[in-house]
Amino acid sequence: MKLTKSQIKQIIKEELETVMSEIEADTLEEDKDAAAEKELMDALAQPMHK
Amino acid sequence: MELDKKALAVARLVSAIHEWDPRQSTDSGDAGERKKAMTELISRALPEEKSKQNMIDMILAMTLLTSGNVESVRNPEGFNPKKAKRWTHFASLPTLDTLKVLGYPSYMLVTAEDYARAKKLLPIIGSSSMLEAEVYTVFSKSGLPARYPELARQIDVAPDKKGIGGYDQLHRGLAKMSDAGIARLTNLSKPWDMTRGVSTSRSYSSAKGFSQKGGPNHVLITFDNPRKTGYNALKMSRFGREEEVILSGVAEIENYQLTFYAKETEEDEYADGYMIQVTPSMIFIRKGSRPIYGNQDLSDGEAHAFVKRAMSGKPFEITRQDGAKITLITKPKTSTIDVFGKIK
Repeated sequence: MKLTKSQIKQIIKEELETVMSEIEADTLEEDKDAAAEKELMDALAQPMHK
Repeated sequence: MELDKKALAVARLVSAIHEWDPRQSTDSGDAGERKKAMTELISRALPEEKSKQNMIDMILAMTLLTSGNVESVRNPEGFNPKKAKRWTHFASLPTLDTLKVLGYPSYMLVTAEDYARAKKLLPIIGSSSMLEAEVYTVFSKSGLPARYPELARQIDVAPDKKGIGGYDQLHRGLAKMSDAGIARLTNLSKPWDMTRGVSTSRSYSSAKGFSQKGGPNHVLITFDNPRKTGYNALKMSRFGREEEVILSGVAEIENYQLTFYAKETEEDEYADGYMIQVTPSMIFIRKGSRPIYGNQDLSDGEAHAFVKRAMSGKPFEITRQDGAKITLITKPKTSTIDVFGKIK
């Protein structure tokens, strides 16, 4: 099966969108993990009465 | 910056003296005896000015962490000199007495340099360890046991020897953590970097009290401390009831017991809720008093992934023991977690 130029473009576009959304989701997850890490370390840094 | 072991030994003994009950007829009589013993100890055990200065620096660093501006301890460059306060504002009476004996003018304003010195020193004193015998040698050589036999007796009979050799277990209570913060606590694969120095307590009940203070999500952490590291603030802290020990190091979390609550997405608000208990190897769910789900063969990564998903606030599905699938959603901020770790 031979793909046309526009079909190839479409496939690349869809794949790119999938990868970009995966990267975005991973980044969001990493940001959430980093925020939770910071919250824990900041809480430990405070004296207990604060 | 190197640790002055003799100054550290004297600091531990001074903390023990401030916990000593001289059994005089009045509080001022007790305070007077403690001051006398402390003055003798410092003049005999720390004749060198350099060691006295080292002990002053340790006490000031402890004071800034326990009652100063923690942000300025982390970032001394951000200290605002216009808001500077005097040491008398931050320090406890036992600390002010000790500083006076050491010749430090506590009416001075706290400076950015004091915070910078504390930032450098806290990781060192927080990770310091000394054998009980080493500290006791300093005590014996000072001649204090003979002059204050009741002080020596009280150190000897105390199960923890008033902390002169450090504590093999330390505790920390945290309140008001977010649900994402609770999920982080269940990640055993990531050690905690506490090398900047953190405040812990030798007292389980004090830490537990703070874990339950001020709202939901109660966190109680117990660290095994095999090298007995830490700097005893105890009554030298302005918050003496917290029985604080400054600790610095890397903690590995080994175990936890988490309990939180959830409801079915389709259920009315008066139905029995679900209680969910998680450890690194187990998930157990009850509806009211009826067990509906159990999995006792988990890896710690699987347990953490479950907690993370449940704490995200999104619905999650489980298959009950009877085979039915239900969708639950976590009730926010209903967690209680006991965490057990070890200082490496």
